[in-house]
Amino acid sequence: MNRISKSQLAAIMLIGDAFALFCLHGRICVMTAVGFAAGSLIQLFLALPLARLYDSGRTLADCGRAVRIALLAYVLIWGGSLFAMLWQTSSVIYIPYEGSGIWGRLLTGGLIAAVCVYVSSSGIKALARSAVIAAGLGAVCVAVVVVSAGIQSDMSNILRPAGSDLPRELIRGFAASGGLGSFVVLLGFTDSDRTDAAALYFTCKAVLSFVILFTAVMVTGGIMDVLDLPVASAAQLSQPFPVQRTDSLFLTVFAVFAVYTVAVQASAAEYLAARTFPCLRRFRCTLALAVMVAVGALIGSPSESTGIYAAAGLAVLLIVPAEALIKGGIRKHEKA
Amino acid sequence: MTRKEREKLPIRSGLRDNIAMIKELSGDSSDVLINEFTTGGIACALICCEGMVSSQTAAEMILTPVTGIAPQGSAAELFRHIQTNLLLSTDRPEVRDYDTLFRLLNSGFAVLIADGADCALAFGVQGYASRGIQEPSGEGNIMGSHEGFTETVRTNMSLIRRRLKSPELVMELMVKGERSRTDICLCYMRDRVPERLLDRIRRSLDGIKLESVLSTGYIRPFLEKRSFELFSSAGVTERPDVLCSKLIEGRAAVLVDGVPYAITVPRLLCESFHTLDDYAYKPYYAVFGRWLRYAAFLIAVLLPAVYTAIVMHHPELLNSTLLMLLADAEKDAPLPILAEALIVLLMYEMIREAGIRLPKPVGGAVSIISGLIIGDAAVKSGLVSTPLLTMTALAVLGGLVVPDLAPQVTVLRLAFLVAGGIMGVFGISLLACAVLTNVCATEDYGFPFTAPLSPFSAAGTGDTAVRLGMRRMLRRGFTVEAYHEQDK
Repeated sequence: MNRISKSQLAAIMLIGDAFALFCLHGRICVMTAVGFAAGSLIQLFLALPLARLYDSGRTLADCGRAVRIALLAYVLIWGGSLFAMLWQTSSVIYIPYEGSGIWGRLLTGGLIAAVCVYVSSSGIKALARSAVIAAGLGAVCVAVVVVSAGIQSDMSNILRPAGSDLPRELIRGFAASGGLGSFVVLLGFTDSDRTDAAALYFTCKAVLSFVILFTAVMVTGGIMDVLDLPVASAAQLSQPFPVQRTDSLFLTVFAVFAVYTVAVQASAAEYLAARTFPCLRRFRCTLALAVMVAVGALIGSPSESTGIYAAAGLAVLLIVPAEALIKGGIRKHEKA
Repeated sequence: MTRKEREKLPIRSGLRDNIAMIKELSGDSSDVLINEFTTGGIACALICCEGMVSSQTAAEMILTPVTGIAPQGSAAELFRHIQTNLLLSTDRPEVRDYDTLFRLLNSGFAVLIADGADCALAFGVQGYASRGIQEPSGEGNIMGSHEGFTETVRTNMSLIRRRLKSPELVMELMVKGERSRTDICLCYMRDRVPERLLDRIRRSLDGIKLESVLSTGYIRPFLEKRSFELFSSAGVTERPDVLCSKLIEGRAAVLVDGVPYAITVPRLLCESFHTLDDYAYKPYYAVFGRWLRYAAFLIAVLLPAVYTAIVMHHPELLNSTLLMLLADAEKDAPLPILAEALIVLLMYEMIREAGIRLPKPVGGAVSIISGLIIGDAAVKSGLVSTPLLTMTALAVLGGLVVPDLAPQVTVLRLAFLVAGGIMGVFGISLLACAVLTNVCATEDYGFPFTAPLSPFSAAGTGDTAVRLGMRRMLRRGFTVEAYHEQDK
C-alpha cells in the first residue's frame, strides 16, 4: 500500500516550500514574513474542504478528466518554474560548470532531472521516507544558519521602512506556494486523518516561512536594495565562524531540496498522467521532467507573474471540492 | 527410464536387486561401501559412505548388536525386532525409496537392507571430519562468547539450542539444491516471530530452484526483493549469541549446511552499527561507541569525496592556515587530486584483495610492501600528497569500523569521490539524494530498512540513537514487528 504518514507529507511539502523561499526574488521585509505566515494559515482554511472530501472516501480518480488535466498542467508549470528558480538562484551559489553558459545550465538541470527520475521512480514511500531524513538534515542546517544569523543580525533592520503592505505580501506568499498542486495529490495518499495532516503541514509551513524570512530580513535588511535573492544571500552572509565559511552547508541543502522538490512534482505529474492518459504506459516520469525543463526554459520564475501564480495556487486547492459540489448539485437536480 | 525416475523408485525386496540398483545409481562409486552379512537367518547388507560415518560407532552401535540377532521368520520381523528391541541410534528413519536412501547415505547415515524387505533402515552414525567450534574470524567481541558457527548445520543448531533452551524455539530442516542436497534450517521463536513473516520466508525458500547451495549468497537473493538495492535486506552473522538475540527480537534465521554463517531476516540498517559488546558495557559507553561507528561510516564514505571537492572546487571553505597547508602539499603533485585520490583508493583495494586471497604467510609481505614501500615511496616521490594519503587512510580506517557494510562503503566511497571531484559539493549532494532514496526504498516483508529512523519510531530509538539500560530495555518488550509498515 502506497500510504504515507502525515509527518512524511509535511516533510515532503516543507522541503518544497523551503526551496521556494531560498529562491525568493526581490525585496523582503518583516511584512513579507507576516504575509507568508498568514498566507499559509489562509491556505489551511482553503484546504479543509479538500481534506474533508478525502476523508469521506473521495479520491482524485473520482474527479473529472478536466480537473485532472488542470492539476497536471499546474504541476508541470510549477515544476518548470522550479527549474527557472534553480537557474536564477545558482547565480549566487557556486555550482561547477554552471556559469559556463547555456550548456552549464542544461548540465545542472539535466543532472537534477536525472536524479529526480531515479528518486521518483523509487515510489512514493521511498520518496517520503528519504524526504523525512533530508528534511531533518535540512532543519539542522537551517538551524545553524538561523543561529549564526541571529548572532550577526541587526535588530534595527526590523524597523526599516518596508514599502510594502500585507495584501501584496500575501499574494507573494500564495505565488510561492506552487507545491499546492502536489499537495492535492499527496493528501490522498495520507493514511491518517487528512484534516490533521493538512493542519500539521500548513502550521509548520507558517512557522518555517516566518523564521526563514524574519532571519533573512535581520541579516540582509541593510543591503536589501542591492540583493536579488535575499534568503540565499542571508545564508551566505551569516557565517558561524570568523575564519571558516560554511556556504557548502547551504549548497548541500539547496541541492538536496532542489532534487526532492522537483521529484515530488514529477511524482505528482506521473500519478496524474497515469490516470488522465492511460495510453501513456512508460516513461511518464521522464516525460514529465522533460516537459518541466522545457517549461522552465520558456517561462520565468513566479516572481515575474505573482498574481497569476497566486490565483492558480488558490484555485488548485479549491478545484476538487468545487467539482464535487457542482456534481452533487447536478445529481440532486436530476433526482428532483 | 531416466536416472531421476529410477531414483524415485521404491526399494526392491530382493537383496541382490537392491545392491545392483545401488551400485548402478551410484556409478559403482568407490566410496560407497556395501558390507554383506547374514543375521537372524536373513541375508543383509549395511551400506555407508566412506568418510561420512564413524567406523567405530558403526561397528559398536550397529554391526555388533545386529549380527547377534536370533533367527527370525522374515525380513519384516527382523526389522521389527531391530526397531523395537535394539536402540542402535537415536536418529533411525525408515527408507522407502532410493532417492531418500542416497540422501541419507550422503548425510552420514548407515543403511541396512535385507533380503525380502521392501524398505530399509537408516542409522545416524555420522562421523565426517569437520572443523571444531572456533572463535569467529569477523564480528570481534571482547566481553561476550568466543564461539562461532561451524560448517556443520547440526552443530550450529545445537549452539543455538544451548543458548535458547525455550520450547518456543523451532528449527525446521529442509533440503535445497537438486545436486548438492544441502540441509537448510529455518529457525525462529514461535511466540515472537510474526506469522506473516514466517509464511513469506517459507514461500521464498520454496521458490529456491538451484542445483547447489554452497554459501549463504545462494540463498540470500531468494529472501530479498528483486529490485536493485545497494544494501542487503537479509543480514548475516557468524555468532550464535548474536543470532539468538535476533531470534528473541522476532526475526527468523536460516542456517545452511557447510557454511559457518546464518542469514537473518529482516535486517535493518541500524543493526550494522550494533555489537554485542554494546550490551556488556555501561550504556554511556555503548552510546559513545555507537555514535563513533555512525561517524566512522560517514567518514569512510564521504571524507575523500569532500576533501577532493573542497580542494578542487570550494577552496573558500577552508580557513587560510589550512588552505596554505594544503596548497603547499599539493603544489608538487603531478596529477589532479581526483586522479590521485582514485589511484590511492584503488591501490588500497588491490592490496586488501591481495591480503585476503594470498596464503597467510605471504599476507605479511603484502603489508610490508604496501605500507612501507608503496606508501612511503609514493609520498617521497611526490606522486601522492601527504594530506590526501592521510584522508584516504582515515576513510579506510572508518570503513574497518563497520565491517558489515564493507562492500557498500567501498563502492560508495569511489562513487562519491568521482561525483565530488567532478561536480563538487553539488555532485556529492545529488548522489547523496539518489543513495538515500535507494536505502529508503529497501524494504522486504514490510520491514523498512531505515526503521526506526524513517519511518520514525520513538520506541526504536532506545536501542539505536542511544542504548537504554538493561531494565528499561527489557520493559520495552520489543520485537521487530513494531517496525512493520502495514501494522501502522
